[in-house]
Amino acid sequence: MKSVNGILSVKSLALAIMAILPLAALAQDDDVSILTRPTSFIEFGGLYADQNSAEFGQYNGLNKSRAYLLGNFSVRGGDAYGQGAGTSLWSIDGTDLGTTSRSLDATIRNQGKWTFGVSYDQLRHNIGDGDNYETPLQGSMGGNAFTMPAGFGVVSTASKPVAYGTQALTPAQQALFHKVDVHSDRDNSGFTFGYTFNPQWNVQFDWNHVEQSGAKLMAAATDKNSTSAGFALAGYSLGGESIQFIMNPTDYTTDNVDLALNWAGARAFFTAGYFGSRFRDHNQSVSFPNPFTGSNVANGTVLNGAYAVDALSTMPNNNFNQANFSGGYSLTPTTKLVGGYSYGRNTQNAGYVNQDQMAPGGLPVDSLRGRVIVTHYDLKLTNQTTKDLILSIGGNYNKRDNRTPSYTYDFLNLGSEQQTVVNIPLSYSTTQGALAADYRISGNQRLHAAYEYEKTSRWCNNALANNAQGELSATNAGYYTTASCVQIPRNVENKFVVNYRLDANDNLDFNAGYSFADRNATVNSSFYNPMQGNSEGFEDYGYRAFFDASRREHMLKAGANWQATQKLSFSLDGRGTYDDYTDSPLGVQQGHSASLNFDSTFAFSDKATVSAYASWQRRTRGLLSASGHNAVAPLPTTWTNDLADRGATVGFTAKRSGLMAGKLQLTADLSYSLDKTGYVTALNYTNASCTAPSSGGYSCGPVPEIRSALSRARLTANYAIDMKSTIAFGYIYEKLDSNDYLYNFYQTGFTSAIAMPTNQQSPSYTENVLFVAYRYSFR
Amino acid sequence: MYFLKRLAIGAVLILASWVAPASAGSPPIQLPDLGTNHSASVQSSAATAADALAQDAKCTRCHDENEAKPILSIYQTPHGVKGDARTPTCQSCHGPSEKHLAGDKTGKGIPPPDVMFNKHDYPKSAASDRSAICLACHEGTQRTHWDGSAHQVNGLACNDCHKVHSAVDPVRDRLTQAEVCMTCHKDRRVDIHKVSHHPIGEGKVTCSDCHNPHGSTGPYLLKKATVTETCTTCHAEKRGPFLWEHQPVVEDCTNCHTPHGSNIPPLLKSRAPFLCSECHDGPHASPSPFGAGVAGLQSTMSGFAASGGRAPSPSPVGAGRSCLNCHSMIHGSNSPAGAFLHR
Repeated sequence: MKSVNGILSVKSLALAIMAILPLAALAQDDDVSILTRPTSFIEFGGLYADQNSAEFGQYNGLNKSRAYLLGNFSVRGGDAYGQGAGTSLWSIDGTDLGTTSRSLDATIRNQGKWTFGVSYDQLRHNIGDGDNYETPLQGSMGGNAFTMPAGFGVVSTASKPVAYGTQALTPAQQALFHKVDVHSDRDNSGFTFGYTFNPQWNVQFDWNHVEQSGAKLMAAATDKNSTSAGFALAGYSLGGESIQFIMNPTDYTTDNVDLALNWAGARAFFTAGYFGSRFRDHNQSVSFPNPFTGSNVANGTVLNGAYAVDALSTMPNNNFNQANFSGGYSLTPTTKLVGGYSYGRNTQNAGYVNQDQMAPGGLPVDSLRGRVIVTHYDLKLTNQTTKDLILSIGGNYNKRDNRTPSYTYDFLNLGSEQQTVVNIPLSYSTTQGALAADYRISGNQRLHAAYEYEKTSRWCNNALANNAQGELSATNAGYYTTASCVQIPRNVENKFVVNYRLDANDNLDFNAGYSFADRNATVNSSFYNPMQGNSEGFEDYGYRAFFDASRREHMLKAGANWQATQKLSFSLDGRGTYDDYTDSPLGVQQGHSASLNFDSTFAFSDKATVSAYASWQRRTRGLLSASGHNAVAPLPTTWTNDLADRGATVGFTAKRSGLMAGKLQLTADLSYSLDKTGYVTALNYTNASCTAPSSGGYSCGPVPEIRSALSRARLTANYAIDMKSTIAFGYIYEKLDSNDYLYNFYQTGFTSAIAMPTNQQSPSYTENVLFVAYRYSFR
Repeated sequence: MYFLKRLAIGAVLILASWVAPASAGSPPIQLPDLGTNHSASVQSSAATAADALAQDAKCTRCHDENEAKPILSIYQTPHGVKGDARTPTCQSCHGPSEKHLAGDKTGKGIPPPDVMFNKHDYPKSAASDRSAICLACHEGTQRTHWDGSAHQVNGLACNDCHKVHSAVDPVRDRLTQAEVCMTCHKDRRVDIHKVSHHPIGEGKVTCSDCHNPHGSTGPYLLKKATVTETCTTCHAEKRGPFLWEHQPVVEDCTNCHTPHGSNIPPLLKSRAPFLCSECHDGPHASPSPFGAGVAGLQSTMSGFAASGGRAPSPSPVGAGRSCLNCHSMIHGSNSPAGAFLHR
C-alpha cells in the first residue's frame, strides 16, 4: 500500500485549490483545541481561462474564455466538538460555486439519535461549444421539434464520382447553417434522514431527485416512404436512408428513494429495505424534417410543399420498485452465515408514439404493458476458526423474468419495405457459486484458492416470441425450424483462482495470482436473429456473439511494494489476460490485455516530497468474419479485423512546505497521457484487393489511429498571511492533442451525400488558467 | 436453483464438520456497553462524555497534542463524540493494553498496545485483528459481505483505507476518495485521464457510487446485484423494458462500455462498425470488411453499386457513427416501427 499523491491531476477547481492549502497556521499551533475543534473557512477569488473549449470545460464548467468566480466554503459546528458533552454536529459546504459544476450540502445530526441532510449538485456534460456543432435545423436546444429553414430546398444526393469535396450542399444551403451550444445538464438534489430508535434499531431514508435538461446529439435516419402530399404533388422522390445529427432532448426527471430499517443484535443483524426509482421523459418523440431527395432533383431546388417529417421515439417512462432483505447470523464466534433476498418489479407502459405513416397496418396495442420481475437470492457461509485458515462457501441467483407480452408489429423500415416482426422480451438468470480457502502457510505467507461456478440461462416467456421466425426458409432448409429467442440459451463457466502473498519483511511484500476460467456455451445453431426481418437475413453460419460464446480465459498478475529506506519507496505491479474463444468459427477469436504500473516516492525531508508514477496498458482483440449473407455452411471468404488499444500515463508530483518561515508551500503536478487505438482489416480470400475500394466502397488495411495526448501541469503556491488568512495562487496548463477520424465524416464537403454535416472537430485544446484565491479560516 | 440446492447441502456438510470450538482468534475488545435501552435514558450525555474522556485520559496523558500524528483529531470525528454512549474509547479499539500502560518494567522498552493499526514504533497487528475491532460495532448493512470479500482475502483491513484519527477521512470525502482507491487500483488512473471518462477525477462520481468496497453479492464489488442494475440507477432512461430490446444492453452494459474511461467516446470498448461486428454478421453491409473507408475519406472512385453509382466514400454505413447512423436507438426502442432500433 504505497500512496502517490496528486495522481489524479484533477480538473475540479476545489481540488486544485483546497486540497493543497497548507493551513500553515494550524501546523504551527499544536493547541489541543485546534486538534479537537473543526476549522471552518470561506474561500473566494477569481480564475481566468484563456480559451473556449467544451472538452476542457467538461465537468468543471470552464468551457468559455473568460473570468470565473472562485467560491468554496466549509462551516462546521456543534456541541460535540472539542471533547464536549453534546452530541450535535452540523456542517454546510459549498464547492465550485462560480461554475456549472457547483455543489452545496448541509447536514445536521444528533449522533446516536438522528441525522438530516440536504444536498445539491450540478453537472454539465458539454456536447458542443458554440463552435463545435453546426446545423441548418431550426428549433431550440432541448426542444423536440425541428424544422428546415425557409428556402433551404432539398439536398442533392446525385452522383458525383470525381468532384469529391463539394458534393451535396450548395453555398446557399451552407450559409443557412448556424452554431449551437449543445449540452446536457444534471441538477441533482438529495435529502437524507436517519433515526436511531435504540442501539439495535435504526432507519435510514435517502431521496435523490435528478432534473436533466439540454440535449445530446443523436443520428437519425429518415424513411423515404414517409413522404407527404406536398412531395408527391411536386413529383419528388426521397433519397433513402438519409442521416442527420439532431439534438435529442434530455428532458428527464429521475427520483430514486432508498429506505432501510436496520437491526443489529449480539449475534445477528438484519436489514429490510425498499428501493424505488421513477424515470420520466417529458418528451414522447422528436420530430425532424427530411430535406433529402432523389438524384434527379437539381441541387438546391426550393421545395414548395412541406418537408416530410420523421420521428424518433424517446426513452419511455419507467418505474422500478424493489424490496430488499439481507442479514447475517454468527453461528459461532468464528462461523457466520449471511444471506439476502430481493424482489423487484420494473414496469413500463408509456404510450407508443403515433407514427401512422410507419405502421400502416395499425398497432396491436397502444402501449407495451412491459413488466419485468427481478429477483435475487444469496447465501454465504464463512469460517475463521483459526487465523491460519479462512473458508467460505456461497452462492447467489439473479433472475430477470421479462413478462412483457409479445405481439406482431407491421411497419415500414427505412428502406420502405414492409416488415412483420414480433417483439422478443428476453429473460435470463445467473446462478453463481464459490468455494474459497485462504490459508496462512507461515507467518508471512498466505495462499488463497477458490473455485467459482456460473451458469446463465436465457429464454422467452411466450410462444409467439419463441417462434418469432414465423416461417421456414425454403432456400435454407432447416435453418429456422427450431429457432428460439436467443442464440445461446445457456452458458456454464468454471473458474479456478489461486493467489499468493508474501510479506518478506516489514519493508517488502510481494503478491502473485493466476486464474483460469472455462466458459461453455450451448448454441442454438438454427438461431434466427429477431432484430431483423426475415427478408433481411440472419447471422452467418458459425457466428457467435463474444459475450456469451464459449471462452477460455487465463489471467496472471504480480506485484511488489518495497520501502527501500524510510524516505524512499517503490511499487511495481502488472497484470495480463488472454481470452480464447474456442467454439466460434466466426466472430471474436481471441483477446489479450496487459498492464504495468510503477510508483516511487522520495521524501527529502518532512517538508519536501517528490513522487513519480508510470502506467501502461495494452489491449488487443482478433475478429474473424466472412463476406456473404445468410450462409448455412462455412464461408471461404473470410477476413480478419484486429483491434489494438494502448494507453500510458506518467506523472510527477513535488511538494515543498516550510518556506518563508513556514508560511509558503509550493506544489507541482505534472502528467502526460497518451492513448492510441487502431484497427487493421485483412482479407483471407483470393482475388481481393486491399488497395482500392471495391463496389461496396470498403477496403482492407489499417484505419487512421485514434490518438489522444493529454499534457497537464499545475503549479500552486499557498502563502499563510497570518493564523486565519491564506492566499493561494497558481497556474494550470492543459493541452489535448486529439486526432480522431470519426470527425472526418462530419465535415462539409467530405460528408457522404446522404448525411448532413455538423462540422464538429476533434476536441483538441490548449488551455492556460490563472487563479488566485483568498481563504479565511476560523473556528 | 438446482445448483443452489447442492450448494446448501454442501454448506450444511461443511458446517457440520466445523465442530471445533471457537478459538480466541482476536484480542479482547472493550466495547462500550450498547445495552438494550437508549443511552440517553440511562445516563446523561454529560456523564457519558465525562466517563469516556476519563477512559481516554489513560492514553492521552502521554499521547497528547505533541504527537507527530495528530491523534487528537479523532475528537472531530464520529468516534470522538463522547456524549454518544456508543462511541468507543481508545481502549475499545487498541485493546486494554495493560502491559503498555504499565510502562517499561523490564528495561526492554514499553511493550506495544494490544492492537496496532499502523506500523510506527511497533509492528502493526494482523489485518484480521484490525478488522475485527471495527466490525464489532460496524457489522451488517454495508459490511454484510465483508467476510470472504475480495478486499478481505487480499489482506486488507478497514484502516488500510480509512483514517480514523483524521478530522476528514479522505476515503469518505467525494473529492479525495478516488485517490485512495487508486493507491492500489492503479490501472484506473490511466482510465480517468482518457478522453472519455466518468467524472471521477473531478469528484462528481466516486468509486463508492457504484462499488461497495466492503463486499457485495454483485460482480466487481458493485453495490447492486448486477451491472445493469447499477448503471441504471443513474442512467434510468436506459432501464426499459423496451418494446425492442438489445440483448447485450439488457444483460450487461460492460459488453460494449468500459465505465472508467476510454479512448473511444462514449466510454466504448471499441467503435462501430468493429464493435458491432463482434456480435453481428447479419444483413446488408455488416459482413463486408471495413478498412480505411470507415475514416470517411473521400474517394474519386465511382461505382458504389448499391447506391446507383454515387461516390463510394465515405459510406454512411461504415463512416462516422457507422451502424449507429441508422440504428441510433441502440439501447432499445419503444417505437412500434423501431424493431431494428432505427426509431
